[in-house]
Amino acid sequence: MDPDMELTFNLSLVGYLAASLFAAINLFSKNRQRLATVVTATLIAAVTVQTVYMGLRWIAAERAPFSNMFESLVLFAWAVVVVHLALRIRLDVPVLGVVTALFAALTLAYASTFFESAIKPLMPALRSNWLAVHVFTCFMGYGAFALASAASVAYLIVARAGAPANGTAAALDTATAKTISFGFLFLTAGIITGAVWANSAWGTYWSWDPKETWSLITWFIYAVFMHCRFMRGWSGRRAAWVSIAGFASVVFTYFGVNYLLSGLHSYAK
Amino acid sequence: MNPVTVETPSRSFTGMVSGLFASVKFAVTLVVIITAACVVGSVLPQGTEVAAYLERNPAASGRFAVFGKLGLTHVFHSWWFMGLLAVFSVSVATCSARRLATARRTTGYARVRSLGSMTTHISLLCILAGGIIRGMWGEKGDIEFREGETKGFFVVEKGWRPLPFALHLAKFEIETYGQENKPRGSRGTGGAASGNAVGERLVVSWPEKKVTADFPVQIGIERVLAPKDQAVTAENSFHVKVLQYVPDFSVDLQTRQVRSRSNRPNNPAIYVAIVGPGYQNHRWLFAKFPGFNTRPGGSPTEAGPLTMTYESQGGMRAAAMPSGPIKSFKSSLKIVEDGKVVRDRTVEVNSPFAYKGYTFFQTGYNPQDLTWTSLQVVRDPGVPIVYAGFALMLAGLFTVVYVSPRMAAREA
Ligand code: HEM
Repeated sequence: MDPDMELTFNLSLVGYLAASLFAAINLFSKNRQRLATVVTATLIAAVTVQTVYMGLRWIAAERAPFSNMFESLVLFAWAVVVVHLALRIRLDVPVLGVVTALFAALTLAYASTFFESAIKPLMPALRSNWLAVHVFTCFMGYGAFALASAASVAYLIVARAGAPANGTAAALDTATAKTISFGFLFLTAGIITGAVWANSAWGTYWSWDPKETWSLITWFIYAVFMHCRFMRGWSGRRAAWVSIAGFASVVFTYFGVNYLLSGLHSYAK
Repeated sequence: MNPVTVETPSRSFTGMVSGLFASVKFAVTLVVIITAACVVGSVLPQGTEVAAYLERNPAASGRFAVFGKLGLTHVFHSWWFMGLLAVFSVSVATCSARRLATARRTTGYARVRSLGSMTTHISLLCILAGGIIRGMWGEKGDIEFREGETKGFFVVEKGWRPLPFALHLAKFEIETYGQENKPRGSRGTGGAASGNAVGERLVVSWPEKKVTADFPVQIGIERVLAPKDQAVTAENSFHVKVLQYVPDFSVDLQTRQVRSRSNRPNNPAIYVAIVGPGYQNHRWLFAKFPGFNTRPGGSPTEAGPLTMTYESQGGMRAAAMPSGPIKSFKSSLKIVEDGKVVRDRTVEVNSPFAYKGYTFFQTGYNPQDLTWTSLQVVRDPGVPIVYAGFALMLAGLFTVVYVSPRMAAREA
């Protein structure tokens, strides 16, 4: 890696680690308000540095840096932090600060340890501006769903331990619904831009390949969530489980389809 | 966002049916069933994958016969999946109609939200309608041609379809990373009749007559070597012809055939025929090994009356394929109608060309023959409706998850 890029990458990683630490302390502190501000400020600083890193990479590659496993993991970390900062949930649920910062730090570390970070030229099919829009919108959705599922898991833990009328549990429940609404809009945009791209590259906006099919499955699960939650008034444990199922589907679409289904298919061939 | 109460269905039969179809419970059940079908369709081998799968797992053939009957090996084209989508459409249509009533009754953010949700549901109908139009009236196939060819039809799964105009391929190009601006080298296999690159020379001398000549290497062209100022006769001339060129000479150990190990000029060689007074021979000449001339079988040749050297600067056909990772491939097309060129466009991957409802997509090339290309041809009259559906869906969802909650917050 170019030294400037390496520096910004490492700085943002350190920033996220620091934010995780502050956020963890915040969970047990008396003066929540002040520490919460520190956590937010650290996250903003780290994500700004990460944005600079992605900008440098964009310039060096002469294309959006969203095209392989390493780049998409970096984008995933970025999206979780941006969604966390953009939605007001961070003010209500301090535990999500820990989750966000730790998720970002671990994802960056994982990406740089296990995946090739060198900039590679793109194959013809990927050379399109739709790539940038499609991947960006999908990952904003994924970032929101990651936060929502974290809130759901936290809800299940807190709701089991605490009394029924628990303030934190209620905040987590609301956070789940808010982030899913936000994520659903972006996932929808992601699937649509993918379809438009496929149509402009191959003349077919939908071909039921496993990745497409799984993105649709994910979308259906969150559509079910939206209807159950907002029309049937589902909340609490039931809603939390739908949210967790939705994120399991996201993870499967992102990793599993590549390793399991294409593996099954290539085995079949 | 707070839960919204759902209307209770009316008592009449049609009211009950439409109430069922429009209910959220029904919608959710339906979506769950369709989701399960998608899981099955993505996990089980589908369509053409089945045969290959059974080849590997013959034991599964009994199971797959049953799967086939149930439509599980072609889920997304099966009658029951189409049926589910049909019920889905009816359900979405009824609930949209009912939303209209809600929108009329409510005001403020609640009304905006109803309208947003209605738009979202109508968008689903648009997308499905567009898919149906494609299935009924769409066409999809391929055109394969070489540079200079003109075609007025395309090949579909069963036969071919005419185009209402003719398509001419003027030029096909492959662009690789790192050489965008350089022209592509000459190409094709070594058997072509001519073609040469600067710096490829065959130097021949005939010591006995004290003549030397320096010919450009051109396949199939006969050169004559004779003393200057004398009439060319059979007695005082040699005829030299380059028959073949390989960029990376090697001999297949099994077949004893000469072949090229790669397209790079690692070991450029030419095969030359020589005919002269009392002498006739064929031999390979190597640019990198001037002293080592061989016969076709690989045995060294005896020194003849001529000395020959092949001088190469990078090989005659630097590579059949341009080197480096492929960046793009492009076809320059001309649309011909009534004998006139009416459009002139270049298509490349991710940049198709549409004319009179037909869209041409750059799809393939042949590394062995770079004058050949394949295009996909698609006619899909449903696309505008599908795209309208996409736009409505984004607008509707944006209204539901962003505009209406903001209004609600402001009204509160
Ligand atoms: C999978 C595709 C679907 C999507 C993306 C979708 C999306 C939505 C959205 C965004 C809402 C509004 C939620 C809110 O106001 O907070 C909604 C509400 C609703 N949906 Fe769907 N929906 C889908 C399928 C269906 C189907 C098949 C039905 C069939 C009955 C249906 C029936 C309803 C009803 C009755 C409402 C309440 C509408 C209102 O009060 O405005 N939905 N849907």
